[in-house]
Amino acid sequence: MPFDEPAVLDAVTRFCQPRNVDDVRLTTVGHLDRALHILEMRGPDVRWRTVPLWTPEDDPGKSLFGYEFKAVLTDVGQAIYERVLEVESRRRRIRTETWLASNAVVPVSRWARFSRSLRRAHEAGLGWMLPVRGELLLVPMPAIRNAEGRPDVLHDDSGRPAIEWPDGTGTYFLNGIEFTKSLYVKVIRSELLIQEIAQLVNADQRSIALTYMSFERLVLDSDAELIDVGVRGTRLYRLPLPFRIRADRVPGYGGYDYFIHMRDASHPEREFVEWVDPAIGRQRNAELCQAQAFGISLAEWLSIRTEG
Amino acid sequence: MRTPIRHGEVMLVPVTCAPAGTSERVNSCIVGHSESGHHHVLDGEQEFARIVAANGDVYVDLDTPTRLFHQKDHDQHRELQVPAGAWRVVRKTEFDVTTTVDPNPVRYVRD
Repeated sequence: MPFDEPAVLDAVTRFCQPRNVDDVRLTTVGHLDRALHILEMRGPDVRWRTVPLWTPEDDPGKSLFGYEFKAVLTDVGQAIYERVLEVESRRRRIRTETWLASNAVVPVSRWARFSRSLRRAHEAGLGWMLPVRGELLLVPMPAIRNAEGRPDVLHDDSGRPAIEWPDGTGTYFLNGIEFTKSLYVKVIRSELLIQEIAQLVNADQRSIALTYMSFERLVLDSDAELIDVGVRGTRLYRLPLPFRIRADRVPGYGGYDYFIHMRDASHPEREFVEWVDPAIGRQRNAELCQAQAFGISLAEWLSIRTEG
Repeated sequence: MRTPIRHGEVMLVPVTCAPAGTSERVNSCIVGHSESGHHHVLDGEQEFARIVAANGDVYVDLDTPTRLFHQKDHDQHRELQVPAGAWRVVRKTEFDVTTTVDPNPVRYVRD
C-alpha cells in the first residue's frame, strides 16, 4: 500500500486535536525498528496512557462495528500487523505488551475501529504511531508478502523480504518462519547440504530448508534412494534423515522422508520434486503417491489418457 | 468412455452427474486458481454449468466440448479439449513436511 504522507499528516492532526495531544511535531519514520529505537532513547509521551479511544468529534459513524470496516481490515490483517510489531520488538528485546498497554506504540489498524481520522490514516498507509516526548512518530505500513492462499502466513521465496520497509530493508520469512538474510539466500538457492541443514539451531528452519533442496542435492549429496519407478514415469525416492532432523519429527514418524520426482507433461525438460506422506511412501508405489496427491484412486490416475 | 484429464496440478475427473449445489451458468470459469494469475481456465463458446456442491467440491457440466487453457505467457501447459459431460474439479496437494515437526520435543538432560 503506498504511503500518502499529506493525507496521513492531515488525518493524524484531526485525531490529535480533540484529544489535546496536538502540540507536538509529527515526524515520519520509514522503519518501525528505527522508531522503536527513538522511543527507547527519548521515552514515551505519558499523556497517551489516558488518551481516549473515542471522541464525539472523531466518531467513526455507522461503520464502528459494521461490515464496511471489516472489509477494509480483516482479522487476518490485524494478526499480520501484530506479527510485524512482535518481530521488530523482539529484535530490540522489548516486550510488545508493555508498549501496547501504555500506548507507547499505537497500532493504527486497531485504533481505527474507534476513530474516523485513524481509519483514513490507515487507508493512506499509516501502520503505527509512537508518541515520544515532544514528537509523534508516524511509521508507514511495510509491504507484506504471504504464502499463496494463506494470508496469515508470512512468506516469500523469490528473494524479497516478506516484510519490506520503504527503504528496501526487511525481514525474510519462509512459511511463516523467520530467517536471517544469509541463511534465507542459501535455502532458496538450495546451497545447503543435508548435513548443514541438520546443524541449524531451529527445528522449523531445518524442516523448511529440507523442502527447498533441489533434486540434485537430494539425490547426489544426500543419499536419497530410488525405491520405485511407476508406469507413468513417476520416480519415488526415500531420503534417510540425519539424527537431528529425525528427532524433530513427531513420535513414530520414522527415519525417512519420501519424495517423488516427475516431469511436466507439456514441457518434459521441466522437472519437479514433491514431498509425500510417509504412510503412502512406505508402500513403495510411485503412481499411488500421485493419485493420493490428487485425492483420486490409483485406477483413476492410471486411466488418464489426456494431459497437458 | 471418458477418462480423467490432467492439466498441470488441476484434474477433471468424469462423473455420471453433478450433485445438487449452488449452480451458475457461465461461458468461462477458473478451475485452477493461481496467486500469480496463471489460472487454469475452462472457456466455452456455449454456456455451461459451474456447480459448487454442499461439501465445497466444484463441478462443471459441459454441453459441448470446451477448451481448457493455461493463462500464462510462457511455459504454459498445452491447451486441451474437454469432452461434454459432468466433471469434478480436483486440485493437487503436497504433503507438508513442516507439519511433522514435534511441537513438544523431548530434550534429554545432558551431564
